[in-house]
Amino acid sequence: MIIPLLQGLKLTLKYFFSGKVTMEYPEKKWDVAERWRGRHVLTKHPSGKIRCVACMLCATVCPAECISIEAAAEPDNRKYPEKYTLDLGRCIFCGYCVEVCPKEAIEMTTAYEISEYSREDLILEKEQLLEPPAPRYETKKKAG
Amino acid sequence: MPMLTIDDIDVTADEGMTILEAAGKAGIWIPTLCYYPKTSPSDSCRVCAVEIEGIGRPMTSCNTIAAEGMRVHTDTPRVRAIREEVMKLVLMDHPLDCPICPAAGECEIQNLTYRLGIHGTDLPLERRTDPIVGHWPLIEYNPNLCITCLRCVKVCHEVIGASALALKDVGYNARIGTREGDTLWCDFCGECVEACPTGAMSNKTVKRWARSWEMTKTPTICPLCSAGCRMEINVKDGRIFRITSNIDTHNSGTLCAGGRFGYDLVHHEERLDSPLLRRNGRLEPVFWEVGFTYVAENLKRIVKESGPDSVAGLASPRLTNEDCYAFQKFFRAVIGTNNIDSEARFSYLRVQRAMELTTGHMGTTGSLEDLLDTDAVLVIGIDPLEETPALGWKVKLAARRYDSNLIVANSRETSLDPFARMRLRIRPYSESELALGMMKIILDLDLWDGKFVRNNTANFLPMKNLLDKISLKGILRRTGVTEEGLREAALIFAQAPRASIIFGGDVIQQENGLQCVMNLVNLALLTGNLDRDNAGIYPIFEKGNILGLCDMGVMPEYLPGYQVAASARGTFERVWKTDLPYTKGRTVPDIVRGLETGDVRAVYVAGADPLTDYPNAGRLAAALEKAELLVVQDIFPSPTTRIAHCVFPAASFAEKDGTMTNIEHRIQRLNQAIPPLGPSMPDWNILEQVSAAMGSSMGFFDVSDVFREMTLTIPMYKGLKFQTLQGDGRIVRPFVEAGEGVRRGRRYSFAPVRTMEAPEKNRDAFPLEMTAGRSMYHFGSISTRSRNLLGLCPEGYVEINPQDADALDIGDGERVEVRSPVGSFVAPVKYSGRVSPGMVYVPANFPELGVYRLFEENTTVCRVKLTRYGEVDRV
Ligand code: SF4
Ligand code: SF4
Ligand code: SF4
Ligand code: SF4
Ligand code: SF4
Ligand code: FES
Repeated sequence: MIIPLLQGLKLTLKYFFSGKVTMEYPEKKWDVAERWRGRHVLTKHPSGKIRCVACMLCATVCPAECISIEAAAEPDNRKYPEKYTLDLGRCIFCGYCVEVCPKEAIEMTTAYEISEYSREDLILEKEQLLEPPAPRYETKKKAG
Repeated sequence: MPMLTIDDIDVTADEGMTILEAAGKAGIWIPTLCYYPKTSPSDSCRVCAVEIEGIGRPMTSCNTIAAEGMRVHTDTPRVRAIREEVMKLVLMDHPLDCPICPAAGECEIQNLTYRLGIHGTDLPLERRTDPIVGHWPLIEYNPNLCITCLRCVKVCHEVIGASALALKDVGYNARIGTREGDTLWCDFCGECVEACPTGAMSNKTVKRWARSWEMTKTPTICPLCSAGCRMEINVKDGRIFRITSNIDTHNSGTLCAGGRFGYDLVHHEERLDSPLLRRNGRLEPVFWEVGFTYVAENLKRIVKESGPDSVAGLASPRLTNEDCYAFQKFFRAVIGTNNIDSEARFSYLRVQRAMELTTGHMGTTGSLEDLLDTDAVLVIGIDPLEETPALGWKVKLAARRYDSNLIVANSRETSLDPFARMRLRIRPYSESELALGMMKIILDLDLWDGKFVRNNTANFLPMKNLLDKISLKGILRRTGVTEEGLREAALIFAQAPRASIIFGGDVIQQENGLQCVMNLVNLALLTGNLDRDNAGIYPIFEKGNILGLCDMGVMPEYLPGYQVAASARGTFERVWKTDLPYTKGRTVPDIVRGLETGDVRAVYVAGADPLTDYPNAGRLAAALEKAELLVVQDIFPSPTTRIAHCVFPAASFAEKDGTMTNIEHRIQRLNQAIPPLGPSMPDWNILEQVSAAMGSSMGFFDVSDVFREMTLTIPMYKGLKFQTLQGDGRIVRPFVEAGEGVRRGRRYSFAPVRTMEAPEKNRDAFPLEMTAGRSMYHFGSISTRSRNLLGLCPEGYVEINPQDADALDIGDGERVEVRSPVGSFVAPVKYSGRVSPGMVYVPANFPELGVYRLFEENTTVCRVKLTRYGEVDRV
């Protein structure tokens, strides 16, 4: 009768002295794989111009229908997106948009801290998408 | 009919069919790139190569005629190699800009490389970087994407006849350019864009904003002119982005500038966006219910005080058949009066009257397609390429491809002149004389169809007597043509086994319109050109649904389907469950008189703008101002809505379902492409709501209810189904059997009439003769809300012969005041050799000008004088 009790205690003690499985988020953060499909960015040419040519392929392929683009053109006929909105609240992070883009104009970062207090804030505009996601929930407190 | 085998399948080809077409018939696919079914083959890409047994080299199937006993193979290693080679050559310098190319998604290069499994080319070449030709209106050419297949050049030359495009340079440098100079002398039909297999020719209005696969296409018909071309409205996010067309339609997918580019009027920012009610002298937005109650109460009050005949209605040929039916039912069953009329009073109804008396037909006697195979065409008093382009192209094709003899008689030079065998520059007003002259000559030379005349017609003797009495000299003097000219025209017309007559506004809208139409019918009867295939009479009207409007009985004299109350009263009273009015009803001139005397107190206008579209608009405006209640339902503000007491916003053609009837009496479906914009409603529904507010609903809850009732009350609609009218629709021609009336039991009858000579009063004070017509790029006044079309023709103008302008010392583009005895307007002058000296021509499309204010009742010709604007004050 005491044997099973000791067996159980052994397991408890084993985990008691082994390393931690949980992490003290947000003081500490997980490193994710390089191919993690996190928040999107719209990339730029070295010249600083947006790469996207508003071909609408991402908007077309997106199974969640969360991308909408309004195209415009510069005087030299170069097409660009006047508006580019991506609704993270609907996105299923499938990465199809990245895969279909012929210009490598949309990429996914490893940022996963994208929760917001309202749905509206999850709708990202072109200007937001052009910036890499800022690090969030930084804390002064030492992790440990 | 040759029998051949293609890939071991037996195929029976029609005479003259190419191998490609025969293969298509058997369901065998052969790749093509430069082949375009509407034009002759240009044989430039060679991707359609096939092998024929017994012939050493591969042959291009798109231009090799199928012959008896041929054994064709379409999928041998050799032809596969050729296809691959051809595609690699195409891709060699092709930029592959698909992500930004306007054609992507419907590009034939994309489709072919995909289907043939070609993944690239090992012959890479420097990519072309020619500048894009972007300064043409509406259309853009990107030489870098062009594969010089010549489809655009051919369709422009062969189908449209504008010949604006041409192949420039040779060899590798060959590209498409304009016929001459830097300007594109173009009709802006957009056919080149539709024909181009790549993105080289593109539609500027859409290329950036929507991609081909994002848009949903709704098949519908173009409401702008009476040809009723089938087209597809392309919608993305509730907005129309472009119009495309489908090649297997009765118009072969060919559209004119109006159909192709005029769609943007739907989204024009001036669209009425709320019901308006006049309060304290101003039109203020109100809720629908407020408007309905106001109109219903006032109508009821006026009917109670002065009887139903103190209310009158005016409808428009822009409405659908259902709208028109609801309109007349509203007046006959709800209000209880026959006081309804429309602008058809000045055009279609004259023709209808003349033709009913003489032939029993109501409008065209044949289909547009028939014109292709007619041997001679007399085009008189109209420029069909401007008024109903779809019909104009048919005539042009007949003249060019099928060697039909074209006779053009007009007071101006028309766009058909270059294709005509005979051109008769006649004086305005003299069309009827010309017909009489031709008849006289035909009779003198004994070229008339005696058998037809004896068997089928009445009243030949009086006709003959009249012709005997007329002197040819007088006719020559009045028409201003030479004797040889007249004689030759008569010979061509009489000797053709099948001849057709096309006439339009100049004939119909003059004071003698009725007589003039009768004489043209007489000419057709004398030469036996009725009842024959590919021969007939084609009256042309400007606006979309004018035939439907009258078929639906929007006129005092007929109930729907040209039925008279005497015989059809029972049917209607049974279906409508109410009594029909017994009064005669008022026509437009009677309504105007009624308003002036105060007998008519309320006017309800549906879709029409009488102040822009009716002759003698000045008098009409004064009369309408007197109305106690003026209700207008329309899609745009107009001079008429401005003086109205209540305005209801209606839905445009893209926002409603219904049917329309084109010039050949083809009843076709209009389909809703976008929901009604803002609070607007289809016209039939507004009328239903007003009736409901008056306490007697018409029982129309859906547009198909209206149609169903039409099939019950209108004999020629019997058996038609709303749902099955899609596609090319159905041609249903009304025909009135000859009773004991004028035709004396015969099928047809001559109508011997002479026409009065135009009164030559005011000759000295008003030295120039003005005719009103329309601009090539505009259709009624509605198209002046289309930015695309305004880009082609921004404002009204006065065309004048440079000779006259010189004499008056007026420079090209200067503004002049045009004054007639009853009105005036100011517009810029445009020099044009197309009008004869002593004449001016103005398009009546622009409401700002109010061209119709210059005419006295019932005509579109008047005498005017021109003064340089600014000098007017000094005089
Ligand atoms: S990741 Fe998938 S769901 Fe999200 S935007 Fe891209 S395509 Fe759409
Ligand atoms: S697929 Fe790429 S280039 Fe095309 S619209 Fe999307 S982000 Fe822009
Ligand atoms: S023409 Fe066709 S293949 Fe060429 S860039 Fe355009 S879509 Fe691509
Ligand atoms: S513009 Fe288009 S239709 Fe014309 S030749 Fe070039 S590829 Fe052919
Ligand atoms: S305006 Fe007439 S010819 Fe032109 S597309 Fe419309 S229906 Fe056809
Ligand atoms: S399709 Fe036959 S040669 Fe081009």
